[in-house]
Amino acid sequence: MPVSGDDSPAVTEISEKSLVEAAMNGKQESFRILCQRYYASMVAVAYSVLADSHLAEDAAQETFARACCNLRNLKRKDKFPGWLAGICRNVAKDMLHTRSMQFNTNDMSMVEDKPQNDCCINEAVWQAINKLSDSAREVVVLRYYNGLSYEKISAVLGISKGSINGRLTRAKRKIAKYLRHNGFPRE
Amino acid sequence: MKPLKDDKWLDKLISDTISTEIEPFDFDKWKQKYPEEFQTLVSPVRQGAHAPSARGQNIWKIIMKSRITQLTTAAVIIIAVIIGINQFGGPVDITTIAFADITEAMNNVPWMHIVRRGVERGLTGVGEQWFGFETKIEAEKDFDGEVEFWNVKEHKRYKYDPETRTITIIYAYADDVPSFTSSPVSLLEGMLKMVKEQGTEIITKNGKYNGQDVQIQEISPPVMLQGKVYCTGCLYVEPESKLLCAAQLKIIDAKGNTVVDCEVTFDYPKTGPADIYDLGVPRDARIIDKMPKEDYLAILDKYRECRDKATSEYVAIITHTLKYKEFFVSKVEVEYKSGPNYRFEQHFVFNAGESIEKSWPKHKKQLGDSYESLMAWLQRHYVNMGRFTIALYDGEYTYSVGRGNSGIWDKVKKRSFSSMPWINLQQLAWPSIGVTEGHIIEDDYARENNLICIERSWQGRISDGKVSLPGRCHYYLDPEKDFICRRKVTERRPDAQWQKDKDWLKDVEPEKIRDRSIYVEEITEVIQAPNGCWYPRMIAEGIRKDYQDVPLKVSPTKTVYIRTNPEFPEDIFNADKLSGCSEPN
Repeated sequence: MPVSGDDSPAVTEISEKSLVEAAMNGKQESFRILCQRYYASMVAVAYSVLADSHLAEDAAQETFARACCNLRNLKRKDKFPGWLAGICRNVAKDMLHTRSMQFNTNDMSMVEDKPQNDCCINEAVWQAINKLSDSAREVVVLRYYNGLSYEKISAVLGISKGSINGRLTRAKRKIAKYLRHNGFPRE
Repeated sequence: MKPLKDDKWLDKLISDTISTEIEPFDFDKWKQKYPEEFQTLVSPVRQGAHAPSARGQNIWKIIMKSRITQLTTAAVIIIAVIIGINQFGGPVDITTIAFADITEAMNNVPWMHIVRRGVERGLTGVGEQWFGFETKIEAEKDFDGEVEFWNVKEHKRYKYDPETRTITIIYAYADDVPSFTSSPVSLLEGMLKMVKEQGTEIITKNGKYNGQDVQIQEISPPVMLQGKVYCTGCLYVEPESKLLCAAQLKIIDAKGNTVVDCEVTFDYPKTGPADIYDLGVPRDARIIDKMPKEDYLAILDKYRECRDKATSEYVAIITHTLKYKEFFVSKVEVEYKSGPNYRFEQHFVFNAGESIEKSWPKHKKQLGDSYESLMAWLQRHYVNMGRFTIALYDGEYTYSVGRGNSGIWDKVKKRSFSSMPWINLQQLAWPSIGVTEGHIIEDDYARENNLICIERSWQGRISDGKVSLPGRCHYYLDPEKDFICRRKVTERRPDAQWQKDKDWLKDVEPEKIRDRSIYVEEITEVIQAPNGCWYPRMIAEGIRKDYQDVPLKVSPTKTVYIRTNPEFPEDIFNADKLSGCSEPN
């Protein structure tokens, strides 16, 4: 079994289920591959809660630590990414309580009136993202934070690609609407 | 779902707003950070069956930072187990050798030399370890020929790889050093906390070892270490010197496989190895020196000294200002710090749904612009309905709790940390600067403002088809003002001149390469407190387009109000008195 740092083609050929099984049996190489495969996804999941990239990376690492301790309790091996994402959400929410957020989602949720016309459009987009529901914000962040594929998002969220597309489209409509209502024309 | 018409502009906008590069996951670093959890994974023992105490986990984490202290030091751990248990009233007959005497004897030796002969992790051979308790030197020659030599005083770690005949020298962080380098007893005390609940007994009897009279201590039943392996064996103590002279050691995993089966001997010479060559490393081995330069280390020492002095005891109020038509304060933070105790509160000025435009004049008046007025507001906000969170650290645990818009408190969350994971004022004024890959440079900004500039950089990488841009951080420290970091500039750019491989992006599609970014955090005003230390007063953060004198787009700003001779409110650090909760869970 390759143990290189990257998720190389040889590695991706190994089925997820067998990797999870091997990790459950204490094979660190398998766990390493799983961590590398899902690190970016977990950072994105955490980022959708924390809105801080450094904290999100910490949260992803903590997620793997908790996964280590509970891996053998995982019943559906094929649901590993979704299970991992569940842990990650909890870790991120825990962290949210203990640490100060520069762009706390609560901070931004209160901005209901129109931003100033000369306000940076990225700030307005950020506000719009933060006004989305948790599940919509999560799918947006997964897609755009580090450019995850639909396939990977599907694995992490445990929903079909069609559902992801639907959620993304609805979320983007809301973002576009928010921008339009706040004085930012298309383009 | 009907797609949006031509929404590429929106894709780009969202991507520009939130996209970032994620550093590739480093499994080895992660393992070092979470040794206990990792061991739980690789242990075939059922997880959770012997969960160690939270305190024990911390100790284990500290100890396990050194590779040397892992399995290979099992012999020392066994000693710790035995002595530790019996120090605290285990079943050993008091007519036998007094364990306090053993501890005392062990504590006074200048060097301990351990030789292991037998089988270890599938390898048959000999391994040895040296512990210089006064010289602060630790060394190990492993069964596979690898040699490590730690000079704790000099913060140097030498590692010899026999395959490549290479010695690599790296900086050894103070907290990487295993605690028992100070004395074996410190390890014993720590290990005791982990094993004393296991009900292990020591059977003591007199006997002989190599023809000499000795006291024999047998462990029964086997001791489980960290839910990973079982240790069994016996220990021979020399009756006159009260020193351990030998041990037989067996470590088995839960399936009954032998991991270690060694005969261990101990001796206590007056001197030990002075360098890695004394352990048999060839003198013509190639050396890769990754140690930072002395001037850099000296600056970092001063930097940390000033940081620790300035942030040992204080109360600081920090307001966060955002711009929405006009500037408004969105959040007020207050932190109390006294030695290891730390309390951090963040109070949100606006409730969800509250109109900034309509409510800001009222809040502005109530907040005021002084330490006193803000503290009064905080106290009112604490009592009245309003959103805020509290994090408390008592030297061992963090407790966190929050109150939402509805006025309902969350349940207190308690977590174990070996140190306060995050201190706000330190991050603002003295952010963490790593030792490795750093050096001092001179640039125009540093020269013009009499600042010391530290540069740290990292290489761009392509992993799993994703591009992680090369990055660089410049920290501008003010030597006249307690080395406060006046400006921190973090930049990432695809065409970075510090990228060693200039063609690293040649096979990457252009649309996968993100644009450069420069993020600036700057302390624009400082104040000197009555204790003589300097602190930030105003902090601005924002994005700058490039190196040129393009104005910084600032958002948000922070203002600090500080008291360095505070009278702390009663029970401010008492977790049992956290508001809204009867008692921590």
